[in-house]
Amino acid sequence: MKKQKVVLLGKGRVGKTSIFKRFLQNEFHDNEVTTIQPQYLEKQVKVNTEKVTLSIWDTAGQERFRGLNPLFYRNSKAAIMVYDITDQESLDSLEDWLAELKNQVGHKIVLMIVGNKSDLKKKRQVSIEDAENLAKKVGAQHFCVSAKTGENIDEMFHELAKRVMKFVKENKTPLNTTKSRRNFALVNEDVETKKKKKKNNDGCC
Amino acid sequence: MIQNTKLNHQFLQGIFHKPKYKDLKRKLADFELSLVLPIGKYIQGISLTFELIASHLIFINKQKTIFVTSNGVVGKIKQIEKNNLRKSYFICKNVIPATRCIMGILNQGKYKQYLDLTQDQRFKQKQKQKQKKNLNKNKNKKNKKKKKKNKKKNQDQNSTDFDFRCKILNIETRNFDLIQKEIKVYSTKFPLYYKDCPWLDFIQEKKKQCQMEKEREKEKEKLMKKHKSKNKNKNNNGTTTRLQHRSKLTKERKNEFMKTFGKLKKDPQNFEFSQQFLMCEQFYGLKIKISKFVQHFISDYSDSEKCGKFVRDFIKEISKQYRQHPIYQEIITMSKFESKIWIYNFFENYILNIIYDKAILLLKKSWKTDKEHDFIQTRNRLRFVELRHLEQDPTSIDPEVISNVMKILPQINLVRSPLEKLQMISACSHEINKMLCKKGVKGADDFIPTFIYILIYSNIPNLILNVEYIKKFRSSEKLSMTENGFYFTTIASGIKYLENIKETSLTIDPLTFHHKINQKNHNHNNYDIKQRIKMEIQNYENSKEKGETNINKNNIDTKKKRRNTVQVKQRKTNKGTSSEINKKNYNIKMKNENDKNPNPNPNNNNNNSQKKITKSQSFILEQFESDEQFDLFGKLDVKNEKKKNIFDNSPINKRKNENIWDSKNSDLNNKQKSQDQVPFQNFNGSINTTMDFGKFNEIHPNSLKLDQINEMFNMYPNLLYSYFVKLKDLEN
Repeated sequence: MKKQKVVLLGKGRVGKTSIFKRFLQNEFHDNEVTTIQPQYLEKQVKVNTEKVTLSIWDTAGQERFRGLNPLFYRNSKAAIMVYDITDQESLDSLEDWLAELKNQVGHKIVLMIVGNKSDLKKKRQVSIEDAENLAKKVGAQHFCVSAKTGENIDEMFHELAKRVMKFVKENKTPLNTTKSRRNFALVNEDVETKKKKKKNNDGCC
Repeated sequence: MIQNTKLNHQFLQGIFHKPKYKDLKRKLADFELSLVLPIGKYIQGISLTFELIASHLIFINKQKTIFVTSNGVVGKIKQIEKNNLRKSYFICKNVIPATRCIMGILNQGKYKQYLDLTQDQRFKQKQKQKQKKNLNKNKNKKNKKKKKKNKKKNQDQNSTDFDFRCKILNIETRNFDLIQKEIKVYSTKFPLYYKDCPWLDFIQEKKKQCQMEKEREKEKEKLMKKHKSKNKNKNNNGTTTRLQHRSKLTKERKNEFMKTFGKLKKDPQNFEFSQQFLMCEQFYGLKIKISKFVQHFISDYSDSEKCGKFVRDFIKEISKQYRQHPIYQEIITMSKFESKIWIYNFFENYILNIIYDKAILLLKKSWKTDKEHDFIQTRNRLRFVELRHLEQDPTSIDPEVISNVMKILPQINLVRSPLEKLQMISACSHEINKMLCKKGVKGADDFIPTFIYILIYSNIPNLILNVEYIKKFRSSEKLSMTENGFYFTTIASGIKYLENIKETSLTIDPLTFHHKINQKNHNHNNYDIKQRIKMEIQNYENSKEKGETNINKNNIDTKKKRRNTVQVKQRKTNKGTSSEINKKNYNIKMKNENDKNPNPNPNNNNNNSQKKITKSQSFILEQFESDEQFDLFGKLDVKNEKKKNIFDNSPINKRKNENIWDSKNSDLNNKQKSQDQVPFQNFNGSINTTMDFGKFNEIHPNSLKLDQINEMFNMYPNLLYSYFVKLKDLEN
C-alpha cells in the first residue's frame, strides 16, 4: 500500500502539535522524541492485516498563515480538523476551514473532527451535540481526544487509517455506490447538485 | 592547394587526370580550401576527423547536427563513444555535393533556412527555385535570341560561381569565436559523377574491414552462448535481444558492476560514480537512449512550460526499463518500493545534472517579469520585521544556529539536481527543528514563522528560480508525500507569504507598517544577524520581566488590564473601535525604536523611559482596580475577553478587524496625509511618524484640551493608557 497524506488543520494553539506528539510517543521513547521532526511524521498503521503508511503534515494554525495552507493540502487524502473543547470559537472556526478545503481540494476527502483536551471536562464550553452535528453535516466522524492523557488518540488514528484505506480503494474504481458516499465527506456536494440541476435544465431546453 | 586531407587530394588528382574537368582545375588553382564531391549518389560512411572539420568549418546549426565546410560539404554530426571515451567524430553521412548544395542560395539567412529543412524538402525547393529562375530568365531575355541561348542557360545553372561571406565557427575552443571570411565557391560546368570518385577503392576496403570485424564479434558471441547456454534463464520480456546478450555477464564484469554500484550507493549524488555506473556495458542501450534524449533536449527543445513534464516522463520511462532489466533483477537486493525510488532518484540526478543549464534557461524564458528582482525588493523592504511581528517567541531562537543556516542556504546554487537541493533545504530545517526542540517539541505553529524570518534576512541568490526549478522537475507526487516535500512547501509558502504581505499579516500597527515598508534608505546588507536576534531576545526578556513584576503585584494578567483600561475609555468616548489591533503595538513600537539605535547597549535611554512608564503603569492599575467603575467594566470585559483577545487569531475577530480596517484605514491614511500626526504636531510642533514616548513624557498632560485628547485617541489608542499613567503620576 502506498503512502497516504493526511493534513492536520485547526486554529492556533488548539493542540494539533500535542496530538502529533502523543501519537509519536506511543511508540517511541521520550528521549528519542527530541530528535524527531515535529512537523512531519510517517507512521505505519495496521488495519486488519493490511498496512498503511500515513504521512502526516502539520500546518500553522495562525490566522495570518491561512492563505498558505492550500499548498499543504495538495494530494492529501484526509484531513484531521482539531478544535478545543474549552473554546467554542475553535469549533466555529472549523467551518471556515471546511469551506476553504472545499474550495481548494475540490474532491472528496476523508474528514475527522477531533475535540482536543477532553481531560478538562469542567471547563467544557463546546457541547458534544454541536460538534457532532457539524460532523454529520460535513460527513465527518467526531472524536473526543486528550493529547495529555493519550485518551482515544490511537483509536482515532486507527479509524482514520481504516477510512483512508476504504477511500483509496473505492476511488480506484470510479463506480461509487451511494452507500459509500455516506461514509465519506462529500466536499463538493453543492457543486454536484448544481451540475445535476444544470443537466436537468439542459434537458428541458 | 589542399591541406590536411589525403582524401581530397586523392580525389582531385583523380579528377584532374580526366579531360572533362579541365575547367575545374583552373578554377581551383587560386582557391585555398576546397572539396569537390561527386554528384548523384550520396557518399556514406566517410568519417572526417575533428581536425579536418575544424579547419574547414563554416557553419554549424544550433542543434549541432549539421555542418557546412568552407568547401561546400554539408554533413551530419554524430558523436561516437569508443572505449568508454566520448569522441566527437563528424560523420559525413548523406553528403550533399558541392555543386548542388549551395546552388541558388547566396544569403546566409536563406542558407540557415535551408539547413533546417529535411532532405526531401530541400530538393523540392531547389526544383521550385530552378523553375522560377528559368521563368525569370526567360522573361528577361525574351527579346534576345532564344534558341541558341536556351542550351547555354542550362549550362550556366550548373556552373554559377559566387562569393559569399559567412561566419566561421571554431569548434576547438568550443566558444564558437566568430571570424568572418570571404569564401569563393566554384561549381563545375559538368556534373561530377560518382564513377569518377577515386576513393571508391578506399571505401570498399573499409567496408571489407568492417565486415571482418563483425564476423569476429559474431564468432565471439557464439562462443559465449555455448558457454552460458546451460545457465540460460529464458526471459521472454520485451527487452531487446542486445540487452539479453549483454545480460550474461562474465565474472569480471559482474565484479566491476558491483563495485561501481557499491560506490554509488554510498554516495548517490556523485556525478562521476553515476557516469561510471552507466558506462558499465550492460546498459548500453539505455545509455544511448539517455544521450539521445539529452542531446535533443539541449539542442532542440524549446517548450518552456511543458519541459518539466517532458523530462519527468522520460525519467519515469527509463527507470521503468531499467528495473525490468535482467541484470538489475539479478544483482540488486532491495525491496521493490525502495529500489523504485532509488532508481528514479538516480536517473533524475544523472540527467538533470547534465541538462541543468538549459533547464534553467527555459525557466527564465517562461517568466514574463523578473520575479527574482521583485522578490528581492519586497524582501529588502521587509527587513524591519522582527520575530515578535510573526508572533514567534525570540527566546526559543539561537542566533548562532540561525546565522549558520543562513550561511548554508545560499549554497543551494552549487548543487544541480532537485533532489540535492531538497536535501539541503531539509538539512537546514532539521537544524532549526533541533533548536526549537530544545524548548520543547514544537510544531508548524513555530516552525513556519522562524523559517519566514530566515527567508527575510538571508541573501539567497536565485531563490525563486530554484524553487520553480524544483517544482517543475520533481514530480508533484514526490513533493507532496515526502519529508523533503514538506520542507519544500514551507519554503514555497514562505515566499508566497512574503510576496502577498499586508499590514494585517503582521502583528504590527498598520501605520508603522506602511511607514516602514515605504522607507527607502535601509542598510540592507550591513547588519549582523546575530546581534539583531540578541537584541530582540533582550528586548523580549526586558518586557517579560516587567510583565512579571506586574503580575506579582496584581496577580492578574497585565495584558488584559491594558485592554480593559483602553476599552473603558473607548466606551466613554465611543471612538477608537480600531484600537484592537493597536493595543498590542504599544510595546512593539518601543522595540522598534530600540532596534533603530545602532549602539547595542540594551540600557539606552528609551529603555529607561520604558521602565519608568511600566513602574507607573503597575501603580495606576492598582488604582484602577480599586475603582468600582473599572471593576464593572472589567468583569464584563473578562467575560468577553476570550472573544476579543487579539492573541487568538480567530477568523471572526479577524473579519471584524478587517472590516474595521476597510472603512477606517482609508480614513486614517487620509488623516495621516492631511494632518500628519495631529497630536504630536500640536504638542511639539514637530512631525514624527513613529511615536516617541520620550517626547511624550515631556508634555504636561494638563495642557491638553479635550478635543486634542479625543483626536489623539483616534489616532493612537495606545497613547491613552500612558496618558492616564502620566496624569496619575502628576496627581500623586
